[in-house]
Amino acid sequence: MRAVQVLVCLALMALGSSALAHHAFGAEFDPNRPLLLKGKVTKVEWVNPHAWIHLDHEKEDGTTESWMVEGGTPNTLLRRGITRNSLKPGTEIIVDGYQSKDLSNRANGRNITYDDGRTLFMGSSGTGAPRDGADPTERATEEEQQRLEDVRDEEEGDSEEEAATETESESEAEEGEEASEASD
Amino acid sequence: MKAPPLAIGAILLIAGCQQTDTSRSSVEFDEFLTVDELMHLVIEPSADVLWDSAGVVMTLEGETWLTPTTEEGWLATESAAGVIIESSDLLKMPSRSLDRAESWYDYSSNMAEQAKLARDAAFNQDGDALFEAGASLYQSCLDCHNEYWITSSN
Repeated sequence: MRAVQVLVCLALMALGSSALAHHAFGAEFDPNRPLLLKGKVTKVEWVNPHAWIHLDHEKEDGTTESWMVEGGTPNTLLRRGITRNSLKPGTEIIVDGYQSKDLSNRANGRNITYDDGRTLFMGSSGTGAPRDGADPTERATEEEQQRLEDVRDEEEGDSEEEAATETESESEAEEGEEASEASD
Repeated sequence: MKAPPLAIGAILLIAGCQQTDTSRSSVEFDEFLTVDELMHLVIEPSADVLWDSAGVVMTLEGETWLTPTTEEGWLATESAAGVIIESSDLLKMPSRSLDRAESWYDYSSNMAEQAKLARDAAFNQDGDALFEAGASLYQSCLDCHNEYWITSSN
C-alpha cells in the first residue's frame, strides 16, 4: 500500500507544476505560513489559469532568494489594475501571501505593493484561500480573522523570543569576553 | 463503386435499430473512471494543453509567446478542446451524476460551452480568442469546484 502511495506521489510529481497549478488553495498552500517577499521581478508567466510572478527576494542579510508567486488569472489581474506592463522584469515589488505546503520557494500571492505605494489584490477569489481581508470581494468571518491573528501573533511571539534569545546570547558572550579580558 | 441497394437497406435498418437501442433506458454504460480520475486523466491534461497554448512569458531577455506556431500545434489545441467538450457528457453519465443536484448538469454544460469557444479559437488560429476562452474555461471550473470540491481544508 505504501509503495502504491509512493508511486502515486511520483506520478503526480512527474506531471510537473502545470498539473498542480489549478488546485484548490489548501491542496498546495499553507494558510498558517503567511509571508512577505520584497524584491525585483525576474520573470512573469502571463498565462491561464494563474499568472506567476518570479522575483528575487532580498533577505535581511543582503542575499537574495528566488521565489515564484501564484496570482489570479491574467483577466482578473487586469480588472484590478495589475497589467503586464506594471510587472516588467526589474520592477520592484512587495508581495504578501502564503508559502506552499512543501516549503519550497513557491507562494500564493494576496497583495502586491508597487514602489509608488499602490497596493492591489493579486490573488484568486473562491479557491478556498483564507478570508484574510485581502480579497475585496470577500469578508473574513470573525472566526477566520481570529485564527489569522492568532497565527500572526504566534509568529511575532516566536521572532521576539528568537530576538530575546539572540540578545541574551550576545550579552552572555560579551560578559564572557569582559571576564576573559579582566582575567587577562 | 456504387453500393448495392440491399446493402444500403441493411445499413439503414441497423442505424434504425441502433437509434432505438440508445433511447432505451436500460442501456448500460461501463463508466470505468471515477469523477476524480476523469478530471485528472482526461479533463485536466486537456485543459493544460489549452492553457499552455496561449499567453506570454516575460523575462529580462524578452518575451516568449506561447501561441502555437504550427498546424500540428493548433490541431493539438483543437483536439484538447474537443476532449473537454465531450467530457461534459461523460460527467453527466449516471454513476457520475446520480447523487448530484441539477447544477451539476449546468456546470458540465457550461464547461462544454467554454471549451467550444476554445475549439473555435484554435480552428481560426486566433491566439487572443484562445487566451480569453482559457480564462472563461477556468472560471467554469472554479464555479463548479466551489460547489462540489473546494473547501478551505482540502
